[in-house]
Amino acid sequence: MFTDLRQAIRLLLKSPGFSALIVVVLALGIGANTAIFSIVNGVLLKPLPFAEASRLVAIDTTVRNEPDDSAYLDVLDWRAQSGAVEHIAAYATAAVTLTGRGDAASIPMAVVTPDIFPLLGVAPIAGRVLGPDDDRHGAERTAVISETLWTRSFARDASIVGKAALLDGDPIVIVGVMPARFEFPFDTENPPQIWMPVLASRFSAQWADQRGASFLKVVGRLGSGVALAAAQSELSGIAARIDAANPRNGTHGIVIRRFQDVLVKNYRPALVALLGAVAAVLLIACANIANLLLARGTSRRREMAIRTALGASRLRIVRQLLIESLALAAAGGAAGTVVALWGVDALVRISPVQIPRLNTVHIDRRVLIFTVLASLLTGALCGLLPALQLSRSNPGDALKDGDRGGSSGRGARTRNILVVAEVALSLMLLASAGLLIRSLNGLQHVSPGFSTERAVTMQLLLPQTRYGSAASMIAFYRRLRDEVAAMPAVTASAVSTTLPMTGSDITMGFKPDGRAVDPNVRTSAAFFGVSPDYFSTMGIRMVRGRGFTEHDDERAASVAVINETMAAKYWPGEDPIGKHVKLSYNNTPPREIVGIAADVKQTSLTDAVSSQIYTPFVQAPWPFLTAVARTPAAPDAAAGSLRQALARLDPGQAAGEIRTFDQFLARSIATPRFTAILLGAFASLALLLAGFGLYGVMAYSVAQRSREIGIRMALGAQAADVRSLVVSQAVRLGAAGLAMGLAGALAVTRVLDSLLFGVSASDPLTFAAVSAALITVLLLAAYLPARRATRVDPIVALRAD
Amino acid sequence: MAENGQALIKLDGVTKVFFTDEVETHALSGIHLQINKGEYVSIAGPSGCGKSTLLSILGLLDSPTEGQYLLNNRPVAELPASERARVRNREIGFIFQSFNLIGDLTVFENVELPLTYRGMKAAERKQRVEAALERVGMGHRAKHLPSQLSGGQQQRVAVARAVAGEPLILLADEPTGNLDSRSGEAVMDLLRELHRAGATICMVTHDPRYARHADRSIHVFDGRVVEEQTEMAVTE
Repeated sequence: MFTDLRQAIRLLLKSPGFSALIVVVLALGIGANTAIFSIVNGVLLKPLPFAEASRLVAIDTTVRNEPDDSAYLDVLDWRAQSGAVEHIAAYATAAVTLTGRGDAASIPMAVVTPDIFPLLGVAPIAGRVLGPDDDRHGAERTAVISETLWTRSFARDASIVGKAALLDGDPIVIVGVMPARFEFPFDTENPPQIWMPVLASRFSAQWADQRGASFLKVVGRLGSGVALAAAQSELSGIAARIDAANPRNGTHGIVIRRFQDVLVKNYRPALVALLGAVAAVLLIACANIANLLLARGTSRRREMAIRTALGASRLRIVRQLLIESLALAAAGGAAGTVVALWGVDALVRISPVQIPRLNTVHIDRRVLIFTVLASLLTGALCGLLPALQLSRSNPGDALKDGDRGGSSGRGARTRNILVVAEVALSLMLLASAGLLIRSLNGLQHVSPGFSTERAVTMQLLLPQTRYGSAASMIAFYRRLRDEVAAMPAVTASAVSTTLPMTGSDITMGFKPDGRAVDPNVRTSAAFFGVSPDYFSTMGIRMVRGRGFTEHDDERAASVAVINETMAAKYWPGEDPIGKHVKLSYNNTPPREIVGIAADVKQTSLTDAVSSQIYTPFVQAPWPFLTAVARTPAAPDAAAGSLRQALARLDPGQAAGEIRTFDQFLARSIATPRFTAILLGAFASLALLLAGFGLYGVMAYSVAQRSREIGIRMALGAQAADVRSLVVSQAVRLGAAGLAMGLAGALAVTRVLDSLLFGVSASDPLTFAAVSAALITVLLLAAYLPARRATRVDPIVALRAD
Repeated sequence: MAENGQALIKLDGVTKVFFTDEVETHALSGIHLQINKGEYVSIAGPSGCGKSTLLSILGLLDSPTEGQYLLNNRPVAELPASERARVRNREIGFIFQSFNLIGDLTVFENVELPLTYRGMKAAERKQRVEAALERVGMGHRAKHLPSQLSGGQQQRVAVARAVAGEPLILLADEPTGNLDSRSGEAVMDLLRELHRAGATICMVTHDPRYARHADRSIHVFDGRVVEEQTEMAVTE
């Protein structure tokens, strides 16, 4: 074995250019696979960094069988009644303003039920975690903070534990510090820095006693040995009992799913597609290398014949040749690991920030094992065919002068099959990338229903300590409107509770007045409390009726504007204007519908638009406020102006997220863009490799057939005849690959269905375009060898005579 | 085939010099040669004397460095590559020592090959190929691959390929060189039959037995024609 290895290394060093070429191709292939696998491993495969992570489950309330957030009181009942799920904890994300530690700062936070800490099993690095006593009405307001916040705002002062910090103006006692590795819920962009009991936060406490207020996500741990189906069955029974005891609008169920599956469900298809694509690229690289080794093998037939003549068995020959290819693959794998180290960083940088746990992606032991296995498999794939072929040669023939008279077909079929497979795989990748790129292009041209140009937005959450009353919220709102409108270079401005496509939304139940509503049908709509200038500032078209005016104030009759979808759904064939709708908002009276606005995309460009209700902010004030200003100023300058405006208004109020609409839209298509770019890159690489593969096969074929070409030229073949001979061979191979590739692509692209928007998985235009691109590359790849074939000197080719 | 008595090939002071790095090799030096229509000429000489180079120039596979080459009274020494290919295809038939059949093509397709380069219609090609194969006694092997034939049979197919296009001249380069004596005799008989039927043949051979089949034998040495013998002299 060592002798074989030594000989293999000596042979590889003897032709350094050949060996280096193979190692580079393998390094790129294995490196790309390792990098993508690192992401897949970090996001999809690696257990969550919590105790008994495989038993963690997400528990959601369902209304009309659709998962939704859950009510605090429901969660308490589940916890009390469930035996199948050991710990049940709830959480929701928000933000608080930290004051008294430099400038007021908006800090991402999570309200939690204290069970979250024993459930996740992460110990604090200082103080204690929250306990049941912290989540009681009237208890001292407490919180635990992250190590990051502890470092940044408290200079790692250990004495902070047990002391109060001002959060939203409330003194909150910090009882513990969680280690930096504790991240929950996962949010790469804005990871929570503070965890407070649901009842300790004035913001969440106000909804905690309402079963109709669904605002919590729920996580639990299955009991040891309990099947998911058994837990589902038990929780469904509990949900039915709760519904019976607490009649409310619609039937509420429960759905229980693996927590990790729910966490990554939006990213799994894209990551799996990318892993498949990069594996296909490696396969294509393997086929190329196998072809190179096959070609070189032809020149080693004599050597193998001598070895056989000296007594080497076929197995021995195969072993030696496999060791050579494995040595190449090992070198490729080592270089590929270096490529992957760089590639992982690059991939993480261009990945959508929403992907959970992206910040923890790195090359770990599992990834290294993957690399080793990929290298071994690559070595075997590249080397096996040439080894089997070469070991099958008849030593008697090989030791003679070789075959005379006629072109040699030895190994040609294998090489042709490999190149056909390369072309087929490339087409499958190209078709997949083409569909995703068309899909992305379609997404980029979807109108959100409002104008996104030169619009900067600022989100705020008013603390209840200072803005607990409707009057105080309205007063703040009015001043905010004035301040933003007075900003330099602002051409239009408005204030709304939330804005579409910004990731924040309020869903509100309603009843269309005078309409019988099926209790099992959920009647809720996206809610916006807006300023009178909202529709004009946002560029939302009024379809009928009117928008709001300054006269629609808190003393005027309650009014509402609804969107077209809601009008068509609840008043089909009727004019909703003049009709009334009652909102689930502080028991306010029904509102008269005064206008119908055009639909706007609410959460994503791909989702269908649902019902939307607008009211004047002053008639339904909320602590959520978002200012939007249209300005030709640069986004940074506009953001600075917004902060200054807020500081003038209330120095104790921190600004939340400040972004332009274009940034929000870019974020909403970040995942499709990431997938399309990467798949496009892999497909381009595959195309290039397939081109090189065909070039290699054709160039080798021309070299092998130079005698035949010489004969043809002696018999009067013109240059065009010779070119056509070579190109037609390439066309036959290309056509076979194309046919197989099209069939494969039709099957593979169905898997991408969930990633596509506005384009069918078998879109003929995309298939035609990528086929044309592939044919062009293949013709180019065939042209050079064809041209070289016309330069064959018949005298030289026939000199064997 | 051509009429007898007129000059089909005329070489006048043909010289071929190969330049490699700093060495000039004179393969042919001032060759004067005439081959008449219907004549059967053999070219003999030791290895490296230039006979194969001479045959390459006669077959328009190579060009002379100096001198004039008239084929059927047409100067052909400086034709462009495409025109040389056309002349090779229509006016010259090659028979090689190692047959040079294309291994992936059937016997029929091998014989048909030069005709396809003429753009000849399929029906006419078929007729000519079948006739040529019948002429050499290989009609029954039309669908076989060369590897399924003996050496003698392969050379018969090569002869059929050479005559199928009805060229002005057949150039044979050691046509028996790779054959056993019995097969060699059979091929020589075939060439003689073709000659009797009017074919003009120029054959390179170093075997005096076969040189005797020709009307005239030319001896080349160090790139020069050193001796010419007619059939009588050869026979004596």
